[in-house]
Amino acid sequence: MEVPVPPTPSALDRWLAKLLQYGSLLAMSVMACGLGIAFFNPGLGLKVASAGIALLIVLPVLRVLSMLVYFLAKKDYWLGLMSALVLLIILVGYFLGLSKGVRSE
Amino acid sequence: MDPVFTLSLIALSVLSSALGGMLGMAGGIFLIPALTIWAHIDIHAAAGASLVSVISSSCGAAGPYLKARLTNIRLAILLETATTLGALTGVFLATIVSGRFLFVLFAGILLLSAWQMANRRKEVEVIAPVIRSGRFIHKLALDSSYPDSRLGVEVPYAIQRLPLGWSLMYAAGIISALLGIGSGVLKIPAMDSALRLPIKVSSATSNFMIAVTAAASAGVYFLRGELSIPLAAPVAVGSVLGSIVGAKILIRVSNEKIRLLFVIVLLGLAIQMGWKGLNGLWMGGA
Repeated sequence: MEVPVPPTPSALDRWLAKLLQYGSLLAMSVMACGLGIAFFNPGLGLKVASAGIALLIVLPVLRVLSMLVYFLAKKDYWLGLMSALVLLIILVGYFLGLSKGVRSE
Repeated sequence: MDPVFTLSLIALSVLSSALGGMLGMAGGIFLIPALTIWAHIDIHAAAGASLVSVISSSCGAAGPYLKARLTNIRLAILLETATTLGALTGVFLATIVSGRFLFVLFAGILLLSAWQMANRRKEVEVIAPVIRSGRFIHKLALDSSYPDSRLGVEVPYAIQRLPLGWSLMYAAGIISALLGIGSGVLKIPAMDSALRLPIKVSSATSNFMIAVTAAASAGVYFLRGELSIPLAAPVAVGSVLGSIVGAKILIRVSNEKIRLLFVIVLLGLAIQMGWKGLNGLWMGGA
């Protein structure tokens, strides 16, 4: 059965691969640096490590955002809607988490 | 940050992740028992820290799968509505369930893993006749094809039983947020059996979804200030190092004796985790 498919990965596939690969490499390097610094200056090291973790957590959210932009640009509204939903669920969770965190302080 | 504690966490994570990698399993399955049983870390804290390493291993593995055109990103984003919703449910449940319950739940996941290890998925691909999918699947163009390197042809596939797959993904999201694992152990039956995806596609697509699922829950823990940085950072760094080591010394798991050994290890861990959960109950929670 013949299915018409591109022989190479799509532009979106290639962009997502790059984003996730280099992004996680960067986040892990920041985290490792933070751990190294923590041996000499625990306060600063913890802050740097914390930034690395935040970067890593943001990376998949950026991935969903890229997909939303791509699908909307391609007028693929069903998939755009799905991306928007995933983004909405994540952000609602963050908003609830943030408001709860502030309240407990 | 205590340097000795940091270094021991890194060492423990390298070992757990290398062990998981050698078996082609997620590192979390060994990491959580290692952190809770041996390092005596609270299971809620261990789960949060483990989520960070789950994101990093998922992102790290995503690139090659995408470039090989094995990941179905259209299906992934659809199922992520289920896994992220499940993750938020799990985050909420984490505030009301006890640590003991999580130990028992983890024991259940270990038993399931042992069972899957014993009945390993067969790597035999057959070009099945493409069945016509439902209208919704057709409208979203979720059916696809992938290049099978061994067969040397483009293999088309159709997606079946989407509502069942979606529900199983929701459950996988809950488990992931509660236990800090990728819960591939639940995603694999969902994708192989319910959706009828080819094995290579389901592995790649499941890995792709794990990072978003874990980021949904880890982000909430992070913003609430419940994510312990001195715990999460060494665990994540150690896990990445361990996965590199694990891939280098990849054991041929087709070797029946080694597989049997790991089935026994998983069963042993299940008993230990289950005991830790139930033991507390018998002691009246004292």
